[in-house]
Amino acid sequence: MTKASVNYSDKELIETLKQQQVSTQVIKYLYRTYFNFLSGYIKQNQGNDQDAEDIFQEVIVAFIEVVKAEKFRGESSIKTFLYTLNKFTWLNELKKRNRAMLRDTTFYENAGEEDKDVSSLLVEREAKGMVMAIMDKLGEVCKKILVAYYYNNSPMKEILQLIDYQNEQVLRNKKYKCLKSLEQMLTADPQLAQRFKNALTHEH
Amino acid sequence: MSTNSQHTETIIQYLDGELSGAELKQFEELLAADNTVQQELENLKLAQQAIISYGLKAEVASLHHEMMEELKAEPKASANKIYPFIRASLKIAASLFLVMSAVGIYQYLTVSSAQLYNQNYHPFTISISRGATEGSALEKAYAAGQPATVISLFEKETNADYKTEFLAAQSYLATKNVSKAISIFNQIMNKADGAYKDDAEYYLALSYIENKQPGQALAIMDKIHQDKDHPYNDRFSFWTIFKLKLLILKNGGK
Repeated sequence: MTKASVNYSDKELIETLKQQQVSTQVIKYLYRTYFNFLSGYIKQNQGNDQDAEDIFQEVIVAFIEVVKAEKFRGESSIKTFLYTLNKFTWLNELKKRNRAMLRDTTFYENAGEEDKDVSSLLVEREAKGMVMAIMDKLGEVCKKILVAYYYNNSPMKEILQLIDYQNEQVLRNKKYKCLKSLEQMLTADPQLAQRFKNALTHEH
Repeated sequence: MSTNSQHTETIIQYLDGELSGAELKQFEELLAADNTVQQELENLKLAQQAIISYGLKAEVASLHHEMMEELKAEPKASANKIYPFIRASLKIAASLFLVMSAVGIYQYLTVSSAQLYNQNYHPFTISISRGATEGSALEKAYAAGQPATVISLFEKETNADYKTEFLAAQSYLATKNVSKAISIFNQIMNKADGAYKDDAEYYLALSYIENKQPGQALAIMDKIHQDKDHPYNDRFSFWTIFKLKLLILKNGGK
């Protein structure tokens, strides 16, 4: 761990993640503290280095979203929660790849209450993947504007410097069109829209 | 802009927290009364959620490479912390090895039977009190440092005791008749009685060295070196035995 790194107790980490903006410091802390631990499980269960890295990114995003949605009940440690989330995400991925083994099915059947709790968070993993694919269809400019505004909370003046537009009003119009376009793509199919909502809000 | 578009724009302003005062109140009344506005607000909130989720995913992805580099470098960093100690230890070990090798080579080149003998030989001394009547002529001659006289008297002796034999052997050694000295020291060693046995053993080893038989000397010197109760134990150190082994090596293992 580097000298500049910050350490958090479980409680401090949860409180920090609940704040509106996720700091890069927290994400780095999660990597430093849990990457080797979680990637070990993937590599011991048919996964390679790239699988371990991909799953870890997904687990970290899911964990932060669960905390922000107030769905982390704190009944287990963050380490245990992440381990279970990591395990289910990986088993889910294995099944998706049609490489799941019988013992994986048995694992689901024998899962404890806490495991089932976590597994329910992954029900809409596929739907979330579809949402991300829709975002990619928006185009780079739309993504840049919307992410800067809604994720980074950047003011329009700052975003204007990122995008080569004449003035703030043109940027506002573009943002409006991008958001509306995204809304339409997400709600084109009402059933999918409900799944997307479940996936993004962790409501089931 | 159509009425629907106007609603959308207002909904987005509401979502972005840009409405206040009368505008906000007016919109809240509309929202409470109009299901389509409620639905659109929900849909736009969904879009906003999708953006936030995408943004988080992108942020984690943007840090991923940096973190992988850092984590992969960590074992190297740990290793770098350990390696200096290993390197320092190896340097010390290598230096010691070089010094030991240099000393070993020097000793190998310079060691000889004569050198080893001279370094370890100390004449056996006896004391005869002035005017004493008990000492024999041979003892008196030995005490006076007259080995030739001792040998002459010994050769005339027909019933020599251990002491006479031992002093005669010492005199043969002193006069460089080493093979004769070895013979007598061995006779003393082979006798059941222990008188002068330890002394004979020590001087026998030295006699072998002087006689260029270091292999024979080694067995005796090793025994004396191992036997802490031997009166000559402190005479043969590890270093003496090491030099004797070098001498044996130099003599082709003999």
